[in-house]
Amino acid sequence: MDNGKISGHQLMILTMLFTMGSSILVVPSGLAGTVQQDAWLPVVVGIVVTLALSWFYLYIGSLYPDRTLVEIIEKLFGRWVGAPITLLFIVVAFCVGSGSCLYYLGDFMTTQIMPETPIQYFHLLYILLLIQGTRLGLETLARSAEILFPFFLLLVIAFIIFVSPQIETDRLQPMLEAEFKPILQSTLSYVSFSGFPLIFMLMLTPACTDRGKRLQKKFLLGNLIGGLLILITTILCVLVLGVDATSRSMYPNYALARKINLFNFINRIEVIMAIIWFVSLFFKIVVYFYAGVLAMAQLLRIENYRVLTFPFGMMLYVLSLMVYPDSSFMRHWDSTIWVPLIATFGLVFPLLFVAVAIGKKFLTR
Amino acid sequence: MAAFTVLAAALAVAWIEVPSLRKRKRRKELWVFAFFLCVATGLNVLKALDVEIPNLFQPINAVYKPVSDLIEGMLK
Repeated sequence: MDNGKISGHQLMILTMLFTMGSSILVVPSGLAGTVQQDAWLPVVVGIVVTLALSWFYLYIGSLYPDRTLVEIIEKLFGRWVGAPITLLFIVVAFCVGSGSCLYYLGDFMTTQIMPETPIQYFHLLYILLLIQGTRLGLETLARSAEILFPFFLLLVIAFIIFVSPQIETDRLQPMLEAEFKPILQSTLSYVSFSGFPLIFMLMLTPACTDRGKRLQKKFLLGNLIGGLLILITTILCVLVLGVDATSRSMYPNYALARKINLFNFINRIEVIMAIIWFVSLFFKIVVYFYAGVLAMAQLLRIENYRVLTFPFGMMLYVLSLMVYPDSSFMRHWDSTIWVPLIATFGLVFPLLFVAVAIGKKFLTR
Repeated sequence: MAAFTVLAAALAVAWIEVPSLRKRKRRKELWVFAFFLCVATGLNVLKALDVEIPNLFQPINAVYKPVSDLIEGMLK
């Protein structure tokens, strides 16, 4: 199998980018739509829930250390019952996960930056990048994430500083007006973007050189940083754009970056935000893609997952154009179907794994 | 035209992968690769010819629609 090893620090960065991934540009608008000026509250609750979930996932990983999710499923359920479950996980990671995230990128590019270029070309370029990244292996991916990390943070900080002169604190008031049910709903939506998909990180954690408590610390820290960055951007969106503009715009962070205007001289630098997003989204898609391809290779027991990258990339091209017929459907689908779908794989199945593992321990005793 | 591009791409992919697999005598990997490449090429050719492909996400939507309605009902 893939013998690439990644350090704890690299895992932290990957986790951070995976947590932020698609959420950072999309989440604020949905939250502002449901809970108005209290959009930050579901994010805070969501971060706590996500941390608990990550702890839970790492617990599953620690049941069989050095085993990926697929191998854990096989250990727990045996080869014949495990295979269909693994297939379902592959479908979700590869078809739905990477397909939908890729469509996000295409949609963003065609609606915001280059409206005259067909969406297919963005998908094609990104898929070539994905294939190259996956073929070079996890080690290369983790190192590139590590190299990009300081620049990434610099861009985020620059973004926050540049936009801060336009903050109007009244926009957050009246505080804590939202009721319980909308908060629960938007927390669920946040967790479905940033929390539940972390189950697929279990395909990567065995490659980390750290184990046990140290792994846990890095994983949770990455998670926390990613969550905090989402929190900051959400608050900034509400503070600068206001609730109405945030909830109405498809990509509020991008609209926010448009507002940057220093001394009437530095302006129109919204591409900074786009670059931040390209980086985080690339790593989100690549983790999904890598998890899917590696899972398939382990399911079929082939030694080298790299032979699957080209065919899977070609399939991804068709699938990514198939997930969402258009962007209004995308928004509807994300808030309706995606939530229970990913909850099944991020909550129901993991609970089942733990139940089976405990049952097995009990029986063998 | 687009369909031929897809076929050319598939040939190029096979040209990259197959020789090294054959040299290392990886029978199983070769079969798996061939299978997935055929599926992928098939999908892409259909797409290129604008054939109506059944939406693979329809079953997912059908399964989760009731669940999602239930959650929405509870949170309203």
